[in-house]
Amino acid sequence: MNGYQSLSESLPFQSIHTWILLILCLPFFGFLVLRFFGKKLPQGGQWIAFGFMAASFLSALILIYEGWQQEIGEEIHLRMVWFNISGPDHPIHFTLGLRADPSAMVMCALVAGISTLVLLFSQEYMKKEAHLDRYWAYLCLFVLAMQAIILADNLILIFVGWELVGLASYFLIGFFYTQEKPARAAQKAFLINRIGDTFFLMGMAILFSLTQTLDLSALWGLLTKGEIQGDLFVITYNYLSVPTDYPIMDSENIFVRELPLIWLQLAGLFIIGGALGKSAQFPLQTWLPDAMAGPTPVSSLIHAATMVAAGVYLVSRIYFFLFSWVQVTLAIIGAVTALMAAIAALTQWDIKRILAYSTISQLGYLMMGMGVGVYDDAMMHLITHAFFKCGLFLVAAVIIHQLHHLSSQPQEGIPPYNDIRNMGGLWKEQPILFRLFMFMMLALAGIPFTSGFVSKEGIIMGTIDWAERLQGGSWLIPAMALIGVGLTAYYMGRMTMWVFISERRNNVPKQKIHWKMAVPLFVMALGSFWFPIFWNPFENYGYVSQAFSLPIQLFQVPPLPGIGHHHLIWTILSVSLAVGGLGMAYWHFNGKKSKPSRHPLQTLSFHHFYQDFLYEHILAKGILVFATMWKWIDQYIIDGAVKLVAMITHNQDVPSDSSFEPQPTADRDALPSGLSLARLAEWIDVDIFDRLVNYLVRGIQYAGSYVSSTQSGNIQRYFIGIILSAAVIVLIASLLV
Amino acid sequence: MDLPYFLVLGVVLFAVGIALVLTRRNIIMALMGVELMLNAANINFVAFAQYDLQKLDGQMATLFVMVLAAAEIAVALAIVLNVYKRFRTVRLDKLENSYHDLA
Repeated sequence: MNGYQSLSESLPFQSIHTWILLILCLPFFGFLVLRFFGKKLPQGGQWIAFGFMAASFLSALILIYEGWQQEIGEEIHLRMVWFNISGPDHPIHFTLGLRADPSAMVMCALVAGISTLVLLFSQEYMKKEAHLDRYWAYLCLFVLAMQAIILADNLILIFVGWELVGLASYFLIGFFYTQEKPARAAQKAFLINRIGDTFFLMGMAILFSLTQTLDLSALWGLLTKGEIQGDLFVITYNYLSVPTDYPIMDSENIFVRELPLIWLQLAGLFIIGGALGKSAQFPLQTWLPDAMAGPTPVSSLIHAATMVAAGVYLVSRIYFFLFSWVQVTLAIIGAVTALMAAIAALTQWDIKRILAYSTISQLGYLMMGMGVGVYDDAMMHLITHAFFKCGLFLVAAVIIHQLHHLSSQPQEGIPPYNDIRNMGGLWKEQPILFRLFMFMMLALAGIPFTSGFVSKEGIIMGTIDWAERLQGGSWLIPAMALIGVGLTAYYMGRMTMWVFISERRNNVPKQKIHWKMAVPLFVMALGSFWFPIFWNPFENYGYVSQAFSLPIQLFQVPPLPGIGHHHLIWTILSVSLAVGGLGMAYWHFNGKKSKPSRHPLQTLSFHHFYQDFLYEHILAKGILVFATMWKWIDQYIIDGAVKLVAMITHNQDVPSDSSFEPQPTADRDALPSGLSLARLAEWIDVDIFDRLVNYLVRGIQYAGSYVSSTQSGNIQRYFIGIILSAAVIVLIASLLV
Repeated sequence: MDLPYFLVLGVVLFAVGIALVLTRRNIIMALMGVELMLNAANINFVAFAQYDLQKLDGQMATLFVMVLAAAEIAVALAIVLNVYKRFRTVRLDKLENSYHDLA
């Protein structure tokens, strides 16, 4: 972000840019090929999709390999001028560009890698479904859009990718569009995301009106030149530091711009609002559990590993101009979401909903981490979470796939093959699956020697450091984070007990896991250990974490020296909470029979604090009542006023206490003598104007009846008339000129 | 880029649009023709905008036309929907008879 170049010129193309373009273009070609020719290909062209995705993954790896050899400070940035418009006092340049900084490169490889594996997994999982070409095509579209978000160098392009992932997510949630539930879930996800996107758009508009650019490096270049003066943010710069994209305010080539601070803060807050929608944070998180109606591999790729992390990634991109109170808001929202979702996950019976609430909860941790300023740990947790949560969903997919022909009655609207009450005993049946599951489960619970432990520990330590700095009520955040750790371990323990350890509750014969399903599972389980990602199982340090060095924040007080050391006591507390949660779950559910949850608190948790209910019955109903009220006001008060005026002016009855009798209005001579002017006016009105009007009307009637004979009702004949008349007009005009 | 290419493309699109509107019996297809004609006009706007790089009025006009077209098609489709609800058909020749029945 250091070298800020003028936006008026494109940046030169270098050979390394080929790989960036390939990362984006390969999924796009895949999408085009599959959308247009997929129907004719065997299995909807699954190997074509896989091939394009694997090639895209390969390009991402090559990009990392080459990018790591670049000199520090030199960046991989491809940019072209899109168009220019003249602003009020200087030209405004719109550019399109792709920038691969280390964090983008890591994210690219993560997204491409996980989608390649999930595509492989889907080949077996979706084998019997119809219209598979759509499935592969939209997965390709999704990856393209996701990579666009990751690589984009300006907010406009990020927004384009942002909407495209929403679209792909809509198509994939609603892949079984003939059933009602997925179709509704897709709509809900789409609409709730629109709320967040509206905020994103407003934030961009505010930012653009302040700085006349949405290019992230240009914003960085501009905002680093400023300082806070009262409630203004004053940017002072000269020709040397910033090229002539900005107006000259002073004859000595010193430019000064004053931005109101509050709007700069609000821009950050509103853009974060967009992230809340995509990353399923309070209060917009209700779409994610419903989105589980889509195919399970889609849930694992889009709604666990990648798309929902896009919101966190967006926060990381605009991190440098967030203000402290905006970050505090983010931390509070993250903590509330993490705790609420963890509580909701305690009582779910649908295996996918448990994992969905767990995803929301972990995303809450990510946002909390961003909010308290441990940027690097939050980004690392994004990576590790992508692995183990994707893996957990894939395990769920394997189980669902095996139970798919189970024909028991659905309980509480949960399909029987998703219901953990119909599972159990897989420990003995599928020992390898059980072990893979356990590695990922322990990573989610935050047990040492897993990848999840390191990154989650970083976030929790971050909240504690932050609370030590702020004191007072801010201790609520680490407290919520720690309670969340215990709850996470407990609900994952509960799920393990129900699914794997308790006795078998179905009679589905033992099945072998196909290699296409096994390979992704092994990779994800491997990614749940500390060693592929970190060097030390207790410290966030390794190849990958180098990519996420903390960016300089412009509007933050730098952290006090001395704080940020490793708190052994807190680590022990959080680990013992996790172990305690697992132990509690084992103690609670060992040998327990299925029984419906009846306790009111359990019901509250099962329905996620009735948030959906509130939205539907309070918000939606409220809006309807509000609309009805306005309709009533429109009908009775506004229309009523008009009618009243009409009545007053129309009613010629004279009040009864006056000296003369009411007369029939037709008789003009009967009007009282004091109203001669009125009589004159009436005479003019009736005898002159009315007659004129009558003649006019009659004339128009004749003309109309004549013209209406051409109104045959044949629209196309009218259209010929329009075209011929236009031609005549053009002809006349050209003759005159 | 050379101007004539754009103009020829615009003319072709416009002609196709007119042909659609005049010959198709389906209202939806006729509306598509109208859209094509609007876009033909758009192409001309954009093509001529290259002579005005400072203000880009042509491109602005195009954006305006796009918004207008969106609004227009929303209204038109609503009308078509109501026509269909009333007459159970969206074929223009059948509608002509219905029109005379109404009158």
